[in-house]
Amino acid sequence: MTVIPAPSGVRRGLIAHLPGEIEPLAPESVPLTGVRIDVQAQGVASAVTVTQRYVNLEKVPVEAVYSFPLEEQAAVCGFEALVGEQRIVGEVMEKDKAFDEYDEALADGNGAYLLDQDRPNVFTASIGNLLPGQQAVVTVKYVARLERLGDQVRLKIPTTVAPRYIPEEQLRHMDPSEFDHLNPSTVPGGVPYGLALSVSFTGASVVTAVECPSHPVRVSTSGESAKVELSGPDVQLDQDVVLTFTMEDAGATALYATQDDAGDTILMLDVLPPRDVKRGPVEAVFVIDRSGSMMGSSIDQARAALLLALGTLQPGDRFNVIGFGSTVDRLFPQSVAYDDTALAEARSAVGRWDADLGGTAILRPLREVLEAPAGDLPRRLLVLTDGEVANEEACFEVARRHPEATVFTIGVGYGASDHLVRGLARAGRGQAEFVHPGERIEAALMRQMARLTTVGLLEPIIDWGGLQPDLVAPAQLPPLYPGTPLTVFARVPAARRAPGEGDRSAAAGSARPVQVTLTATGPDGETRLTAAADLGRAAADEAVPRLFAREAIRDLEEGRGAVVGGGSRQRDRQEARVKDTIVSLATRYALMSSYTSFVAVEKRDAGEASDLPPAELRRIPVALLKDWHGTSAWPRILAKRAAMPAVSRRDLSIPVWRLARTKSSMECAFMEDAESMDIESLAFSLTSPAVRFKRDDTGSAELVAFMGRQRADGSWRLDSTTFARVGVPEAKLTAVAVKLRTALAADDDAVATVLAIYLLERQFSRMDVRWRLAADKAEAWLAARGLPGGLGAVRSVLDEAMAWWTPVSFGG
Amino acid sequence: MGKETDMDTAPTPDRLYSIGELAELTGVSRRTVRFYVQRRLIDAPLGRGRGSHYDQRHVEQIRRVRALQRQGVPLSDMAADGLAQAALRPGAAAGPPDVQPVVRVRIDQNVTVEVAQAAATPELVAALVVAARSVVDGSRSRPEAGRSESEEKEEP
Repeated sequence: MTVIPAPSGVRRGLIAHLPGEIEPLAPESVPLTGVRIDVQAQGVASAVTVTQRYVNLEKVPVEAVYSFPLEEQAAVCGFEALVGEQRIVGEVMEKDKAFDEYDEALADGNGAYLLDQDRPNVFTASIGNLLPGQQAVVTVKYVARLERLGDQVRLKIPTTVAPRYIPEEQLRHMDPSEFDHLNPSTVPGGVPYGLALSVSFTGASVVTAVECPSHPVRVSTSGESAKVELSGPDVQLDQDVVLTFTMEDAGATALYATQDDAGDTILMLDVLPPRDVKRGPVEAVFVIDRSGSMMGSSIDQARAALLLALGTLQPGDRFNVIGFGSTVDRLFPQSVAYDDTALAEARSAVGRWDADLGGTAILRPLREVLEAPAGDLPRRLLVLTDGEVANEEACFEVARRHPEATVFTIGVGYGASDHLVRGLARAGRGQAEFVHPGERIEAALMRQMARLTTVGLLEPIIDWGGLQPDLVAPAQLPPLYPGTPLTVFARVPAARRAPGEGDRSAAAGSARPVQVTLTATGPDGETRLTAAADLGRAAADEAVPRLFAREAIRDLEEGRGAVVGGGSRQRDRQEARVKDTIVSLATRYALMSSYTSFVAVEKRDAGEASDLPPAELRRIPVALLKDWHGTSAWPRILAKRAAMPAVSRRDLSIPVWRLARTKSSMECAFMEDAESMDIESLAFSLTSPAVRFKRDDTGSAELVAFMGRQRADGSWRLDSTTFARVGVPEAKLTAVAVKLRTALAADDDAVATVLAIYLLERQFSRMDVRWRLAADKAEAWLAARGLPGGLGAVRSVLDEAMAWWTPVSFGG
Repeated sequence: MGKETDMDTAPTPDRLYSIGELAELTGVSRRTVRFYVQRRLIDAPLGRGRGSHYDQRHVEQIRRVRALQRQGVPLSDMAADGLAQAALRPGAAAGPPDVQPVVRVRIDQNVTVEVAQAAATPELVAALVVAARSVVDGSRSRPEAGRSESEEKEEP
């Protein structure tokens, strides 16, 4: 008899998932044979179908239980099983009731299918009573809002439930089945089922580039649409699939009017605020995860990010750097003024950092930082973590209790928990970003630093143009950040439209324009954005009403708008009310939630059902998250992998990392470890024969070193070593400095600073996103010294003095 | 999770309960009862299918499992050692069990490597596994061992 690895041992609140028991894995004991994900992304949302195929190859009936991740944003709206010719459609029910149905069906010898939500991003499918030789194809359907970042749309599809840290106290009181679902057995080295994935994307404007930093893919583009498929037959489910689509146009503020099944109007307002940033002094506290799970690529990303972020602060700011794991390591006892001494100390400490602090006990540092008395400056946190914890709600709660602080988050690693990373930013009224190890962290980091140092946050208010929504989600709007989209939903009941509008049947078909206005007031006045739609043309929609309901449920699940305080009885009543509201929203819109599950029963003949022994449990083991601490050292346990067949395999698989269209050519970059590079069979026609190979990291270390010489106030010193590294030898430096000193009528520091900006632009132009904020700081420093033109004023002098100079070729 | 029912209300020892009644009596969900049975933390119900039922022994076993969980004993250790059940057998020692957490790696049906969790670094465990494997493989030449080797080589 073959055995599935026993549940991995939780060891008293340490890392919850040291592989405690490992046994040889027999593929026939894993009834899951393949997973396929199909994404249709269009307009504002993606519709996703996850297909799981189960086959029982054993001689006894089995119950397969599989815990898998979905995007946190997912509004799960469909669950069904195809058994032979029979299609069994799941129904949404209160969670315990759903389980009772399921359990009774199994007791009667019927087939039963159950889908539970353990976290907004962790789900468990139970495939009950799979008979010997039987196959069941189970599909889970969801819709999710597309995440926009300027002119890009980003998809992040998780594939495995990573080991997570569970505080000991929580462990003692946790529901054992919840624990079991959050911590499936992991198999280092590969599971016997594989992943196939295809994405069909249609943007609002021409798609100019498609990137997949996580996997080799095949890409084809045509106008506004793009198709992407994972390349290779047996992709492991061990890291997020990340895709970005770049479009010609970033889009604008828009209003969408749709109808739900009951005829109520669901409005979706998509706001794109202007990009102007007003920077001011802040207290910046960097809270960095240094737990064991960050070891490897994640901590490298974190260190690089922090060094860059430190450089963008300005005199007048205060800051602190806090590393956490099982213990908390503070750079300074409390936040200190940003000056050269503090900056040097921080740079040197961060450079020595490692992921050596044990478990991801994120709650304590959050508490310590947030509960410390705040000074005059607005307190802003930047939390960098992989988010693999089980006490998400406690973390959100502490952020909610401190509205005077704003919390920004960056999720790093191959499978950062989007529930923790997004939820913490929601609770802290900030923003979340994610960075896969295959991506550079700088762009996300600079966006976060720009938001973090914004003074006078804009608090938005929406005027729904005379309509009276009965529910708006999110109920409490977060501040408006420059260039960062904000989506708000509102439901207007059919009977409660503006007075004098007449009833629905009379109004149907006729134009009923509505204009919605968002007003955000800050210290420098108002920002006003408007969008219009025609309610008369509001049509039934698959996605928008469900996205609205999911957002409203999330508000309730995360306790926003709930009454605080009162005795325990009052709290119980409050909890019951919240639960009732969630259940009624979820059943009306046929959605999963923390209180509802999907259940489906397959009636079987009495004879077929009664003679067999009860189903034996087969917990589906999951792949250990790629690069998770310690994986390389664990013995490799292998089994044959089989993916569900992808579409046709007639074309050769060309692993592409990035496909970009420029005005004159198509540019294509391949994965570094690509085996084949047969350009002839690329799925698109190249308009130019020039195919360049990109993903070039040369010069990165040199840039970091050069930036490391910038002082806290933004200036550089006229130091010969610093400039020699970027191709200006000492003798030349002296000559250039003489000319500049005359032209600027300024001292050596100003000369060095002007020259440094000049060199950044010419030597490191490719990486400008990494140094732009620091260069702005340098320009501001020059302006404060009476050199308002900065580099611009003396560019011609420099061009002449530096005519001999050519960019250094690093590493080549 | 609900609260446990007071011991005073515990009914007579020979009464039989449905899964719903058992859940209510012990303050756990039906789902949890089923989980305990599947993981062999408590005995299987009496009978099969819809007619299956539970008795006072199951009530005691569930209370015992919950108590051990609150003391911080990992469920996996309870399952391995049958603690909750053993504690109820005649002659079983009272009081919390003496459990030392360990990492176990099964090499084959007969050989298991066990390291105290406190000392179990991945590197140490990996080294022990490699060593144990070579001893086991060296001491017999079964065809299965060779086959699994060749399967490994097929991987890309």
